[in-house]
Amino acid sequence: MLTNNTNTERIEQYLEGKLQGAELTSFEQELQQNPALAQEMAEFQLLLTDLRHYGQRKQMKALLDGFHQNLDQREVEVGLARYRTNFRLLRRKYFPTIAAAASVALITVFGTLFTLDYVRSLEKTSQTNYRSLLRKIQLNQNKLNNLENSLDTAVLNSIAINRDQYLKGGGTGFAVSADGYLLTSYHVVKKSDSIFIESTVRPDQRYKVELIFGDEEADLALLRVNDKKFTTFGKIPYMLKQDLADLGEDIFTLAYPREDAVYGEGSVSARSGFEGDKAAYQVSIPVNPGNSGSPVFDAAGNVVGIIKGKQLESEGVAFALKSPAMLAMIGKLPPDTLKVPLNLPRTNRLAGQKRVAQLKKIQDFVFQVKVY
Amino acid sequence: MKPAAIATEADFVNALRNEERTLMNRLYKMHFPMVLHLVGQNSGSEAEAKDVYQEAFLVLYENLQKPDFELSCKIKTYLYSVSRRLWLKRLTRKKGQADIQDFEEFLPFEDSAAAVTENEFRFQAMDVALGKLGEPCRTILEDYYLNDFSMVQIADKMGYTNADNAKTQKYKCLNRLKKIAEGIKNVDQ
Repeated sequence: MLTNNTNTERIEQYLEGKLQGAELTSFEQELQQNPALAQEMAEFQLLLTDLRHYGQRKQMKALLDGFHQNLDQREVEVGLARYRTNFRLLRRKYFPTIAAAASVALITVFGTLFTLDYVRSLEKTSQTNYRSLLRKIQLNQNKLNNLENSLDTAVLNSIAINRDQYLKGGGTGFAVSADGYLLTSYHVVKKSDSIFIESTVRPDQRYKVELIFGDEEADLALLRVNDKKFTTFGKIPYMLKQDLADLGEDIFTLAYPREDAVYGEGSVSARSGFEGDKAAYQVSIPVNPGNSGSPVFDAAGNVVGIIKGKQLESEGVAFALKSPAMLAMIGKLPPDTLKVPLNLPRTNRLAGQKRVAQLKKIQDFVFQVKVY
Repeated sequence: MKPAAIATEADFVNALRNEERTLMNRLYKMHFPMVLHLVGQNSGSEAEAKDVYQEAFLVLYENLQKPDFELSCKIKTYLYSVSRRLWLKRLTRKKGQADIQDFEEFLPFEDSAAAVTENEFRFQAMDVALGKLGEPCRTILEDYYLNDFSMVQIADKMGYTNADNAKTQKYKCLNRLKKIAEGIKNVDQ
Protein backbone atom coordinates (compact mmCIF):
# COMPACT_ATOMS: atom_id res chain seq x y z
CA MET A 1 0.00 0.00 0.00
CA LEU A 2 2.82 2.33 0.91
CA THR A 3 4.64 1.67 -2.35
CA ASN A 4 1.40 2.24 -4.15
CA ASN A 5 0.95 5.61 -2.46
CA THR A 6 4.51 6.61 -3.25
CA ASN A 7 4.00 5.69 -6.88
CA THR A 8 0.79 7.66 -7.09
CA GLU A 9 2.50 10.62 -5.51
CA ARG A 10 5.40 10.47 -7.96
CA ILE A 11 3.05 10.09 -10.88
CA GLU A 12 1.06 13.09 -9.80
CA GLN A 13 4.15 15.20 -9.19
CA TYR A 14 5.46 14.21 -12.60
CA LEU A 15 2.19 15.12 -14.29
CA GLU A 16 2.04 18.41 -12.44
CA GLY A 17 5.59 19.15 -13.57
CA LYS A 18 6.96 19.16 -10.03
CA LEU A 19 9.64 16.49 -10.52
CA GLN A 20 13.00 18.02 -11.30
CA GLY A 21 16.63 17.17 -11.94
CA ALA A 22 17.76 13.68 -11.02
CA GLU A 23 14.30 12.71 -9.75
CA LEU A 24 12.77 13.58 -13.10
CA THR A 25 15.41 11.71 -15.09
CA SER A 26 15.11 8.61 -13.00
CA PHE A 27 11.32 8.68 -13.15
CA GLU A 28 11.28 8.99 -16.92
CA GLN A 29 13.79 6.18 -17.19
CA GLU A 30 11.69 3.99 -14.95
CA LEU A 31 8.63 4.84 -16.98
CA GLN A 32 10.30 3.47 -20.10
CA GLN A 33 11.62 0.35 -18.47
CA ASN A 34 8.67 -0.52 -16.28
CA PRO A 35 5.43 -1.09 -18.20
CA ALA A 36 3.54 -1.53 -14.93
CA LEU A 37 4.38 2.02 -13.92
CA ALA A 38 3.36 3.35 -17.33
CA GLN A 39 0.10 1.45 -17.01
CA GLU A 40 -0.44 2.86 -13.55
CA MET A 41 0.11 6.36 -14.86
CA ALA A 42 -2.40 5.85 -17.65
CA GLU A 43 -4.95 4.60 -15.14
CA PHE A 44 -4.24 7.53 -12.86
CA GLN A 45 -4.82 9.97 -15.72
CA LEU A 46 -8.04 8.25 -16.66
CA LEU A 47 -9.28 8.41 -13.09
CA LEU A 48 -8.49 12.10 -12.86
CA THR A 49 -10.20 12.79 -16.16
CA ASP A 50 -13.27 10.98 -14.92
CA LEU A 51 -13.16 12.82 -11.63
CA ARG A 52 -12.82 16.23 -13.30
CA HIS A 53 -15.54 15.37 -15.78
CA TYR A 54 -17.72 14.43 -12.84
CA GLY A 55 -17.00 17.76 -11.19
CA GLN A 56 -17.76 19.78 -14.31
CA ARG A 57 -20.91 17.89 -15.03
CA LYS A 58 -22.11 18.28 -11.47
CA GLN A 59 -21.50 22.00 -11.61
CA MET A 60 -23.24 22.25 -14.97
CA LYS A 61 -26.19 20.26 -13.70
CA ALA A 62 -26.54 22.67 -10.81
CA LEU A 63 -26.43 25.56 -13.26
CA LEU A 64 -29.11 23.98 -15.43
CA ASP A 65 -31.25 23.32 -12.37
CA GLY A 66 -30.92 27.01 -11.62
CA PHE A 67 -32.05 27.84 -15.18
CA HIS A 68 -34.95 25.49 -14.74
CA GLN A 69 -36.05 27.21 -11.57
CA ASN A 70 -35.89 30.52 -13.40
CA LEU A 71 -38.37 29.30 -15.99
CA ASP A 72 -41.50 31.35 -16.15
CA GLN A 73 -44.36 28.87 -16.10
CA ARG A 74 -46.50 31.12 -18.23
CA GLU A 75 -43.80 31.50 -20.87
CA VAL A 76 -43.36 27.74 -20.95
CA GLU A 77 -47.06 27.29 -21.50
CA VAL A 78 -47.14 29.83 -24.27
CA GLY A 79 -44.18 28.06 -25.87
CA LEU A 80 -45.89 24.73 -25.45
CA ALA A 81 -49.11 26.01 -26.96
CA ARG A 82 -47.13 26.89 -30.04
CA TYR A 83 -46.21 23.26 -30.50
CA ARG A 84 -49.62 22.00 -29.56
CA THR A 85 -51.42 24.21 -32.02
CA ASN A 86 -49.05 23.20 -34.75
CA PHE A 87 -51.39 22.09 -37.50
CA ARG A 88 -49.16 19.37 -38.85
CA LEU A 89 -49.11 17.75 -35.47
CA LEU A 90 -52.83 18.05 -34.96
CA ARG A 91 -53.39 16.39 -38.26
CA ARG A 92 -51.25 13.51 -37.20
CA LYS A 93 -52.64 13.24 -33.70
CA TYR A 94 -56.35 13.71 -34.23
CA PHE A 95 -58.77 12.71 -36.91
CA PRO A 96 -58.59 15.03 -39.90
CA THR A 97 -62.07 16.36 -39.29
CA ILE A 98 -61.31 17.29 -35.72
CA ALA A 99 -58.08 18.89 -36.82
CA ALA A 100 -59.92 21.00 -39.32
CA ALA A 101 -62.46 21.98 -36.67
CA ALA A 102 -59.63 22.83 -34.29
CA SER A 103 -58.01 25.23 -36.69
CA VAL A 104 -61.32 26.91 -37.36
CA ALA A 105 -61.81 27.18 -33.62
CA LEU A 106 -58.39 28.71 -33.15
CA ILE A 107 -59.03 31.33 -35.76
CA THR A 108 -62.38 32.04 -34.17
CA VAL A 109 -60.84 32.37 -30.71
CA PHE A 110 -58.22 34.79 -31.89
CA GLY A 111 -60.67 36.46 -34.18
CA THR A 112 -63.13 37.05 -31.38
CA LEU A 113 -60.56 38.45 -29.06
CA PHE A 114 -59.19 40.53 -31.88
CA THR A 115 -62.61 41.98 -32.42
CA LEU A 116 -63.21 42.49 -28.71
CA ASP A 117 -60.11 44.53 -28.37
CA TYR A 118 -60.82 46.37 -31.56
CA VAL A 119 -64.17 47.39 -30.10
CA ARG A 120 -62.46 48.68 -27.02
CA SER A 121 -60.16 50.79 -29.14
CA LEU A 122 -63.04 52.38 -30.99
CA GLU A 123 -63.83 54.83 -28.23
CA LYS A 124 -64.86 57.67 -30.42
CA THR A 125 -66.57 55.86 -33.24
CA SER A 126 -70.27 55.94 -33.78
CA GLN A 127 -72.85 53.91 -31.94
CA THR A 128 -74.05 52.02 -35.03
CA ASN A 129 -70.58 50.88 -35.83
CA TYR A 130 -70.17 49.71 -32.27
CA ARG A 131 -73.38 47.72 -32.32
CA SER A 132 -72.72 45.97 -35.54
CA LEU A 133 -69.41 44.85 -34.22
CA LEU A 134 -70.99 43.65 -31.05
CA ARG A 135 -73.34 41.48 -33.05
CA LYS A 136 -70.42 39.97 -34.78
CA ILE A 137 -68.89 39.11 -31.50
CA GLN A 138 -72.03 37.39 -30.33
CA LEU A 139 -72.17 35.44 -33.52
CA ASN A 140 -68.58 34.42 -33.19
CA GLN A 141 -69.11 33.59 -29.57
CA ASN A 142 -71.97 31.26 -30.45
CA LYS A 143 -69.96 29.60 -33.13
CA LEU A 144 -67.16 29.20 -30.69
CA ASN A 145 -69.36 27.70 -28.01
CA ASN A 146 -70.72 25.14 -30.42
CA LEU A 147 -67.31 24.22 -31.58
CA GLU A 148 -65.99 24.06 -28.09
CA ASN A 149 -68.52 21.40 -27.20
CA SER A 150 -67.71 19.28 -30.18
CA LEU A 151 -63.99 19.49 -29.75
CA ASP A 152 -61.49 17.66 -27.72
CA THR A 153 -61.35 20.27 -24.97
CA ALA A 154 -57.69 19.56 -24.42
CA VAL A 155 -56.94 21.26 -27.70
CA LEU A 156 -58.57 24.44 -26.58
CA ASN A 157 -57.28 24.34 -23.05
CA SER A 158 -53.78 24.10 -24.34
CA ILE A 159 -53.89 27.60 -25.68
CA ALA A 160 -52.74 30.04 -23.11
CA ILE A 161 -55.25 32.81 -23.31
CA ASN A 162 -54.56 35.90 -21.37
CA ARG A 163 -56.88 38.71 -22.16
CA ASP A 164 -54.73 41.26 -20.39
CA GLN A 165 -51.87 40.78 -22.73
CA TYR A 166 -53.05 43.14 -25.41
CA LEU A 167 -50.88 45.64 -27.12
CA LYS A 168 -50.86 49.06 -25.56
CA GLY A 169 -49.02 51.90 -27.22
CA GLY A 170 -45.55 51.42 -28.58
CA GLY A 171 -44.67 49.24 -31.47
CA THR A 172 -42.13 48.66 -34.13
CA GLY A 173 -41.24 50.60 -37.23
CA PHE A 174 -38.76 50.19 -40.04
CA ALA A 175 -36.92 52.56 -42.33
CA VAL A 176 -38.00 52.79 -45.95
CA SER A 177 -35.68 55.52 -47.12
CA ALA A 178 -32.20 56.57 -46.13
CA ASP A 179 -33.30 60.14 -45.46
CA GLY A 180 -35.68 59.39 -42.64
CA TYR A 181 -38.96 57.83 -43.72
CA LEU A 182 -40.33 54.89 -41.75
CA LEU A 183 -43.42 52.74 -41.83
CA THR A 184 -45.37 51.45 -38.86
CA SER A 185 -48.93 50.47 -38.01
CA TYR A 186 -51.32 53.39 -37.85
CA HIS A 187 -52.90 52.24 -34.60
CA VAL A 188 -49.50 52.45 -32.92
CA VAL A 189 -49.20 56.17 -33.51
CA LYS A 190 -52.83 57.18 -33.86
CA LYS A 191 -53.31 58.76 -30.46
CA SER A 192 -49.84 60.25 -30.09
CA ASP A 193 -48.67 63.55 -28.73
CA SER A 194 -45.14 62.84 -29.71
CA ILE A 195 -43.40 59.87 -31.24
CA PHE A 196 -39.85 58.68 -30.81
CA ILE A 197 -37.93 55.83 -32.38
CA GLU A 198 -35.21 53.96 -30.56
CA SER A 199 -32.83 51.18 -31.41
CA THR A 200 -31.28 48.88 -28.86
CA VAL A 201 -28.77 47.81 -31.47
CA ARG A 202 -27.59 51.37 -31.94
CA PRO A 203 -28.40 53.21 -28.73
CA ASP A 204 -27.17 56.48 -30.25
CA GLN A 205 -30.13 56.38 -32.61
CA ARG A 206 -33.00 57.87 -30.67
CA TYR A 207 -34.91 60.33 -32.76
CA LYS A 208 -38.08 62.33 -32.63
CA VAL A 209 -40.32 61.50 -35.55
CA GLU A 210 -43.49 63.00 -36.95
CA LEU A 211 -46.53 61.37 -38.44
CA ILE A 212 -46.63 62.26 -42.12
CA PHE A 213 -49.62 60.27 -43.18
CA GLY A 214 -51.82 57.61 -41.70
CA ASP A 215 -54.27 55.24 -43.33
CA GLU A 216 -56.70 53.93 -40.76
CA GLU A 217 -58.31 51.36 -43.01
CA ALA A 218 -55.06 49.72 -44.06
CA ASP A 219 -53.61 50.40 -40.60
CA LEU A 220 -50.45 51.85 -42.03
CA ALA A 221 -48.60 55.04 -41.10
CA LEU A 222 -45.75 56.88 -42.72
CA LEU A 223 -43.36 58.58 -40.29
CA ARG A 224 -40.41 60.81 -40.87
CA VAL A 225 -37.53 61.65 -38.55
CA ASN A 226 -37.74 65.23 -37.41
CA ASP A 227 -34.62 65.60 -35.34
CA LYS A 228 -31.58 67.86 -35.67
CA LYS A 229 -29.21 65.04 -34.73
CA PHE A 230 -30.37 62.93 -37.63
CA THR A 231 -28.37 62.73 -40.81
CA THR A 232 -29.19 59.44 -42.51
CA PHE A 233 -30.18 55.85 -41.80
CA GLY A 234 -27.65 54.67 -44.36
CA LYS A 235 -28.42 52.59 -47.38
CA ILE A 236 -31.48 50.39 -46.81
CA PRO A 237 -30.55 46.74 -47.49
CA TYR A 238 -34.07 45.55 -48.32
CA MET A 239 -36.82 46.64 -50.66
CA LEU A 240 -40.60 46.43 -50.58
CA LYS A 241 -41.74 43.52 -52.70
CA GLN A 242 -44.12 44.47 -55.47
CA ASP A 243 -45.54 40.98 -55.93
CA LEU A 244 -47.50 38.88 -53.52
CA ALA A 245 -45.85 36.30 -51.32
CA ASP A 246 -46.79 32.68 -51.93
CA LEU A 247 -48.77 30.51 -49.61
CA GLY A 248 -46.41 28.55 -47.37
CA GLU A 249 -43.46 30.82 -48.04
CA ASP A 250 -40.93 31.10 -45.24
CA ILE A 251 -41.01 34.51 -43.65
CA PHE A 252 -39.44 36.17 -40.66
CA THR A 253 -39.72 39.34 -38.68
CA LEU A 254 -37.76 41.51 -36.32
CA ALA A 255 -39.69 43.44 -33.72
CA TYR A 256 -39.61 45.16 -30.37
CA PRO A 257 -42.20 43.45 -28.20
CA ARG A 258 -39.97 44.52 -25.30
CA GLU A 259 -36.88 46.68 -24.85
CA ASP A 260 -35.00 44.29 -27.05
CA ALA A 261 -35.20 43.28 -30.69
CA VAL A 262 -36.86 39.89 -31.07
CA TYR A 263 -36.64 37.64 -34.07
CA GLY A 264 -39.58 35.50 -35.14
CA GLU A 265 -40.08 33.15 -38.04
CA GLY A 266 -42.97 31.37 -39.66
CA SER A 267 -44.76 31.11 -42.94
CA VAL A 268 -47.57 32.64 -44.94
CA SER A 269 -50.55 30.60 -43.80
CA ALA A 270 -53.30 32.28 -45.81
CA ARG A 271 -53.64 34.78 -48.64
CA SER A 272 -56.22 36.74 -46.74
CA GLY A 273 -56.23 38.32 -43.33
CA PHE A 274 -58.73 38.75 -40.54
CA GLU A 275 -62.27 38.10 -41.75
CA GLY A 276 -61.16 37.67 -45.32
CA ASP A 277 -59.23 40.94 -45.48
CA LYS A 278 -57.73 40.79 -48.99
CA ALA A 279 -55.06 43.38 -48.21
CA ALA A 280 -53.48 41.17 -45.56
CA TYR A 281 -51.93 37.75 -45.09
CA GLN A 282 -52.44 35.40 -42.24
CA VAL A 283 -49.00 34.52 -40.98
CA SER A 284 -47.76 31.96 -38.48
CA ILE A 285 -45.25 34.21 -36.79
CA PRO A 286 -45.35 34.37 -33.01
CA VAL A 287 -46.47 37.90 -32.24
CA ASN A 288 -46.34 39.77 -28.99
CA PRO A 289 -47.61 43.16 -27.96
CA GLY A 290 -45.20 45.55 -29.63
CA ASN A 291 -44.98 43.54 -32.82
CA SER A 292 -47.36 45.91 -34.55
CA GLY A 293 -45.59 47.64 -37.38
CA SER A 294 -42.75 45.18 -37.61
CA PRO A 295 -41.58 44.28 -41.10
CA VAL A 296 -42.18 40.79 -42.46
CA PHE A 297 -39.41 39.56 -44.74
CA ASP A 298 -39.28 36.68 -47.18
CA ALA A 299 -36.27 34.36 -47.33
CA ALA A 300 -34.51 36.69 -49.76
CA GLY A 301 -34.90 39.63 -47.40
CA ASN A 302 -37.64 41.50 -49.27
CA VAL A 303 -40.30 43.18 -47.18
CA VAL A 304 -43.50 41.30 -47.99
CA GLY A 305 -45.67 42.73 -45.25
CA ILE A 306 -46.05 44.57 -42.00
CA ILE A 307 -47.57 43.05 -38.87
CA LYS A 308 -50.82 44.85 -38.16
CA GLY A 309 -53.63 44.91 -35.67
CA LYS A 310 -53.65 43.87 -32.09
CA GLN A 311 -53.00 40.33 -31.16
CA LEU A 312 -52.97 38.07 -28.20
CA GLU A 313 -49.65 37.15 -26.83
CA SER A 314 -50.24 33.58 -27.93
CA GLU A 315 -48.76 32.39 -31.16
CA GLY A 316 -50.31 30.82 -34.19
CA VAL A 317 -52.38 33.39 -35.99
CA ALA A 318 -51.19 36.86 -36.88
CA PHE A 319 -51.99 39.20 -39.71
CA ALA A 320 -49.74 41.26 -41.89
CA LEU A 321 -50.60 43.95 -44.40
CA LYS A 322 -49.30 42.96 -47.83
CA SER A 323 -46.43 44.90 -49.36
CA PRO A 324 -48.34 45.78 -52.57
CA ALA A 325 -50.96 47.41 -50.34
CA MET A 326 -48.19 49.38 -48.63
CA LEU A 327 -46.82 50.51 -51.97
CA ALA A 328 -50.32 51.44 -53.07
CA MET A 329 -50.78 53.70 -50.04
CA ILE A 330 -47.45 55.39 -50.65
CA GLY A 331 -48.33 55.81 -54.32
CA LYS A 332 -51.65 57.43 -53.51
CA LEU A 333 -50.30 59.98 -51.03
CA PRO A 334 -51.85 63.42 -51.45
CA PRO A 335 -49.38 65.55 -53.46
CA ASP A 336 -48.45 68.00 -50.70
CA THR A 337 -47.83 65.45 -47.95
CA LEU A 338 -44.17 64.92 -48.66
CA LYS A 339 -41.88 67.89 -48.14
CA VAL A 340 -38.92 65.70 -48.97
CA PRO A 341 -39.34 63.16 -51.78
CA LEU A 342 -39.66 59.58 -50.61
CA ASN A 343 -37.13 57.46 -52.43
CA LEU A 344 -37.95 53.84 -51.72
CA PRO A 345 -35.01 51.43 -51.83
CA ARG A 346 -34.67 49.86 -55.24
CA THR A 347 -32.18 47.11 -54.54
CA ASN A 348 -32.09 44.15 -52.22
CA ARG A 349 -28.69 43.43 -50.74
CA LEU A 350 -29.78 40.49 -48.61
CA ALA A 351 -30.70 37.84 -51.18
CA GLY A 352 -28.84 34.57 -50.90
CA GLN A 353 -27.37 35.40 -47.50
CA LYS A 354 -27.79 33.37 -44.38
CA ARG A 355 -30.48 34.50 -41.98
CA VAL A 356 -27.94 35.55 -39.37
CA ALA A 357 -26.15 37.78 -41.84
CA GLN A 358 -29.44 39.22 -43.04
CA LEU A 359 -30.51 40.06 -39.51
CA LYS A 360 -27.23 41.76 -38.79
CA LYS A 361 -27.93 44.16 -41.65
CA ILE A 362 -31.63 44.51 -41.00
CA GLN A 363 -31.36 45.24 -37.29
CA ASP A 364 -29.96 48.71 -37.92
CA PHE A 365 -33.13 49.71 -39.75
CA VAL A 366 -35.77 48.39 -37.40
CA PHE A 367 -36.78 50.59 -34.50
CA GLN A 368 -38.86 50.61 -31.44
CA VAL A 369 -41.63 53.18 -31.82
CA LYS A 370 -42.46 54.90 -28.58
CA VAL A 371 -45.58 56.94 -28.33
CA TYR A 372 -46.09 59.56 -25.64
CA MET B 1 -27.69 50.55 -22.59
CA LYS B 2 -27.33 46.92 -23.46
CA PRO B 3 -25.12 45.98 -26.40
CA ALA B 4 -26.42 44.15 -29.47
CA ALA B 5 -29.71 42.68 -28.41
CA ILE B 6 -30.14 39.99 -30.99
CA ALA B 7 -28.50 36.72 -30.19
CA THR B 8 -27.62 34.70 -33.26
CA GLU B 9 -26.88 31.00 -33.47
CA ALA B 10 -23.19 31.84 -33.38
CA ASP B 11 -23.70 33.90 -30.21
CA PHE B 12 -25.35 30.97 -28.49
CA VAL B 13 -22.63 28.58 -29.61
CA ASN B 14 -20.01 30.94 -28.23
CA ALA B 15 -21.96 31.36 -25.04
CA LEU B 16 -21.94 27.59 -24.54
CA ARG B 17 -18.25 27.41 -25.35
CA ASN B 18 -17.37 30.17 -22.89
CA GLU B 19 -20.04 29.42 -20.33
CA GLU B 20 -21.76 32.80 -20.58
CA ARG B 21 -24.60 32.21 -18.24
CA THR B 22 -27.03 34.90 -19.28
CA LEU B 23 -27.17 33.72 -22.86
CA MET B 24 -27.13 30.09 -21.81
CA ASN B 25 -30.12 30.76 -19.63
CA ARG B 26 -31.89 32.34 -22.57
CA LEU B 27 -31.12 29.36 -24.76
CA TYR B 28 -32.31 27.00 -22.06
CA LYS B 29 -35.57 28.85 -21.79
CA MET B 30 -36.01 28.95 -25.53
CA HIS B 31 -36.10 25.26 -26.28
CA PHE B 32 -37.48 23.68 -23.13
CA PRO B 33 -41.11 23.83 -24.37
CA MET B 34 -40.07 21.86 -27.44
CA VAL B 35 -38.68 18.98 -25.38
CA LEU B 36 -41.52 19.22 -22.89
CA HIS B 37 -43.85 18.77 -25.81
CA LEU B 38 -41.82 15.93 -27.29
CA VAL B 39 -41.75 13.97 -24.04
CA GLY B 40 -45.31 14.93 -23.11
CA GLN B 41 -46.66 13.78 -26.46
CA ASN B 42 -44.90 10.49 -26.07
CA SER B 43 -46.20 9.43 -22.67
CA GLY B 44 -43.63 11.13 -20.47
CA SER B 45 -43.98 13.44 -17.48
CA GLU B 46 -42.70 16.97 -17.01
CA ALA B 47 -39.98 15.73 -14.67
CA GLU B 48 -38.82 13.28 -17.32
CA ALA B 49 -38.85 16.05 -19.90
CA LYS B 50 -36.63 18.12 -17.63
CA ASP B 51 -34.16 15.23 -17.24
CA VAL B 52 -34.03 14.55 -20.93
CA TYR B 53 -33.68 18.21 -21.83
CA GLN B 54 -30.93 18.85 -19.31
CA GLU B 55 -29.04 15.81 -20.53
CA ALA B 56 -29.35 16.98 -24.13
CA PHE B 57 -28.21 20.44 -23.10
CA LEU B 58 -25.22 18.90 -21.32
CA VAL B 59 -24.34 16.79 -24.34
CA LEU B 60 -24.34 19.90 -26.50
CA TYR B 61 -22.33 21.83 -23.93
CA GLU B 62 -19.75 19.09 -23.49
CA ASN B 63 -19.40 18.56 -27.22
CA LEU B 64 -18.84 22.25 -27.75
CA GLN B 65 -15.97 22.14 -25.26
CA LYS B 66 -14.14 19.87 -27.69
CA PRO B 67 -12.11 21.97 -30.11
CA ASP B 68 -12.72 19.59 -33.00
CA PHE B 69 -16.49 19.48 -32.59
CA GLU B 70 -18.47 21.34 -35.19
CA LEU B 71 -22.18 21.84 -34.91
CA SER B 72 -23.52 20.89 -38.31
CA CYS B 73 -27.13 21.88 -37.70
CA LYS B 74 -29.20 24.40 -35.80
CA ILE B 75 -28.93 24.26 -32.01
CA LYS B 76 -32.64 23.58 -31.89
CA THR B 77 -32.31 20.61 -34.23
CA TYR B 78 -29.41 19.28 -32.21
CA LEU B 79 -31.23 19.54 -28.90
CA TYR B 80 -34.28 17.95 -30.42
CA SER B 81 -32.28 15.11 -31.94
CA VAL B 82 -30.42 14.28 -28.73
CA SER B 83 -33.57 14.57 -26.61
CA ARG B 84 -35.40 12.38 -29.03
CA ARG B 85 -32.66 9.77 -28.94
CA LEU B 86 -32.55 9.82 -25.14
CA TRP B 87 -36.29 9.58 -24.76
CA LEU B 88 -36.52 6.77 -27.31
CA LYS B 89 -33.96 4.89 -25.29
CA ARG B 90 -35.81 5.38 -22.03
CA LEU B 91 -39.12 4.43 -23.59
CA THR B 92 -37.64 1.28 -25.02
CA ARG B 93 -36.32 0.40 -21.60
CA LYS B 94 -39.72 1.01 -20.02
CA LYS B 95 -41.95 -0.63 -22.58
CA GLY B 96 -39.77 -2.99 -24.56
CA GLN B 97 -40.42 -1.14 -27.76
CA ALA B 98 -41.13 2.44 -28.61
CA ASP B 99 -42.02 4.78 -31.38
CA ILE B 100 -41.84 8.54 -31.24
CA GLN B 101 -44.14 11.06 -32.86
CA ASP B 102 -41.91 13.69 -34.39
CA PHE B 103 -42.69 17.28 -35.12
CA GLU B 104 -39.24 18.68 -35.83
CA GLU B 105 -36.41 17.83 -38.12
CA PHE B 106 -33.77 15.70 -36.50
CA LEU B 107 -30.44 14.01 -37.02
CA PRO B 108 -30.83 10.24 -36.74
CA PHE B 109 -27.66 9.69 -34.57
CA GLU B 110 -27.66 6.00 -35.50
CA ASP B 111 -23.97 5.35 -34.99
CA SER B 112 -23.27 7.84 -32.22
CA ALA B 113 -26.19 6.70 -30.09
CA ALA B 114 -23.80 5.24 -27.52
CA ALA B 115 -21.77 8.46 -27.37
CA VAL B 116 -24.89 10.39 -26.47
CA THR B 117 -25.32 8.52 -23.20
CA GLU B 118 -21.68 7.72 -22.49
CA ASN B 119 -20.96 10.85 -20.50
CA GLU B 120 -23.94 10.41 -18.25
CA PHE B 121 -22.83 6.84 -17.65
CA ARG B 122 -19.35 8.04 -16.66
CA PHE B 123 -20.94 10.61 -14.38
CA GLN B 124 -23.21 8.09 -12.68
CA ALA B 125 -20.34 5.63 -12.24
CA MET B 126 -18.22 8.27 -10.55
CA ASP B 127 -21.11 9.38 -8.42
CA VAL B 128 -21.63 5.84 -7.17
CA ALA B 129 -17.90 5.39 -6.63
CA LEU B 130 -17.62 8.59 -4.60
CA GLY B 131 -20.64 7.54 -2.60
CA LYS B 132 -19.03 4.22 -1.75
CA LEU B 133 -15.74 5.92 -0.98
CA GLY B 134 -17.40 7.85 1.82
CA GLU B 135 -16.01 10.58 4.06
CA PRO B 136 -13.56 12.11 4.64
CA CYS B 137 -12.11 10.82 1.37
CA ARG B 138 -14.82 12.24 -0.83
CA THR B 139 -14.44 15.76 0.53
CA ILE B 140 -10.66 15.65 0.37
CA LEU B 141 -10.66 14.56 -3.27
CA GLU B 142 -13.40 16.95 -4.31
CA ASP B 143 -11.72 19.85 -2.54
CA TYR B 144 -8.37 19.15 -4.11
CA TYR B 145 -9.29 18.07 -7.62
CA LEU B 146 -12.55 19.88 -8.20
CA ASN B 147 -12.50 22.93 -5.97
CA ASP B 148 -8.77 23.68 -6.30
CA PHE B 149 -8.09 23.87 -2.57
CA SER B 150 -4.43 23.65 -1.52
CA MET B 151 -3.29 20.80 0.71
CA VAL B 152 -2.72 23.31 3.52
CA GLN B 153 -6.33 24.48 3.31
CA ILE B 154 -7.56 20.90 3.24
CA ALA B 155 -5.42 19.92 6.24
CA ASP B 156 -6.86 22.88 8.08
CA LYS B 157 -10.44 22.15 7.15
CA MET B 158 -10.32 18.43 7.82
CA GLY B 159 -8.28 18.71 11.04
CA TYR B 160 -4.99 17.14 9.94
CA THR B 161 -1.89 18.23 11.82
CA ASN B 162 -0.08 19.24 8.64
CA ALA B 163 -0.35 19.28 4.85
CA ASP B 164 1.86 16.19 4.49
CA ASN B 165 -0.48 14.07 6.56
CA ALA B 166 -3.41 15.30 4.51
CA LYS B 167 -1.48 14.51 1.34
CA THR B 168 -0.78 10.94 2.43
CA GLN B 169 -4.46 10.57 3.20
CA LYS B 170 -5.35 12.02 -0.20
CA TYR B 171 -3.25 9.42 -2.06
CA LYS B 172 -4.79 6.65 0.00
CA CYS B 173 -8.21 7.95 -0.93
CA LEU B 174 -7.29 8.21 -4.58
CA ASN B 175 -6.09 4.63 -4.71
CA ARG B 176 -9.23 3.43 -3.00
CA LEU B 177 -11.37 5.39 -5.42
CA LYS B 178 -9.53 3.83 -8.31
CA LYS B 179 -10.25 0.33 -7.01
CA ILE B 180 -13.92 1.12 -6.44
CA ALA B 181 -14.31 2.74 -9.85
CA GLU B 182 -12.69 -0.25 -11.57
CA GLY B 183 -15.05 -2.53 -9.68
CA ILE B 184 -18.08 -0.57 -10.83
CA LYS B 185 -16.97 -0.51 -14.44
CA ASN B 186 -16.34 -4.25 -14.42
CA VAL B 187 -19.73 -4.99 -12.96
CA ASP B 188 -21.43 -2.90 -15.60
CA GLN B 189 -19.57 -4.32 -18.53
